[in-house]
Amino acid sequence: MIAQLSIQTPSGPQQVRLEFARMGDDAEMKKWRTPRKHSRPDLAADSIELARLAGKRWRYYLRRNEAATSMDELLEKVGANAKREVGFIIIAKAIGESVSSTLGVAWCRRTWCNHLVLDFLTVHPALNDPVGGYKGMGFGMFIGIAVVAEKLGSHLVWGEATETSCTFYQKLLGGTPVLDHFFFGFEALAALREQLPLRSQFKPKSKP
Amino acid sequence: MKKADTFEPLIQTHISEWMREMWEVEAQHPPMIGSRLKFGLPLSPAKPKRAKAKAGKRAAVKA
Repeated sequence: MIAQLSIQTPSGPQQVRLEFARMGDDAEMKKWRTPRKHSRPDLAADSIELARLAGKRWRYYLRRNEAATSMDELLEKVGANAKREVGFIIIAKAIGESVSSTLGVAWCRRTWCNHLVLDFLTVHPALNDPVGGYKGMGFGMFIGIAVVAEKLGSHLVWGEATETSCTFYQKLLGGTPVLDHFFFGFEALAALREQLPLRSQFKPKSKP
Repeated sequence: MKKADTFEPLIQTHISEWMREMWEVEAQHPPMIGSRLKFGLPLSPAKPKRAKAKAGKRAAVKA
């Protein structure tokens, strides 16, 4: 597990676990369907398509042994060849009952110079309805990416923003103007990670 | 090779004001990323052609 966080749903807070996608995890992504009621069916269709494209890319990398399915595997692959490009999917899994067991997907690549490129980020179609009552999954996914970046010693995450998403990334960067690309440097990534403490930081201390 | 360090997960214990603010932004501006045309995935390997004999057989039947 990378992190555990909370998102908002119409029925209250929902706990979500961020993990590296493993073999077979794409099956649930393929089951994503547009809910009967959705105020923006175009966004719902994008969600589904982007998840399928991310899955396709992931499977291609897996076949070539260029994808990692755990943090250890990612570090091992990079440790064996510092200039190796390695891809991975961060998947958000619902803890308990939810609209789907998979709520978010982010396909990332670690580049030859140890930067992270975010090629695909998408959430379940029910979660991207502006009036659906779900909030926070995309933000949570980005925290997961920041956590992995730290573990890799990567000081830059970049990606291509869309017309729809550029405002979100602009706000996430504290107002820095964003058009079709964004760069999250060391400080911006640290600010995201600070939203979550390490498990050991809130565990009761053992007796002396 | 050196074994990778154990990875310690992060757990959310509180929701900050900034996080709540970003949730509202996200609800109006979905953070989805991706392009349909970004990657030219390699073509699937060509499927083997049907045996010529079968085609010949069909032609013969027609005649």
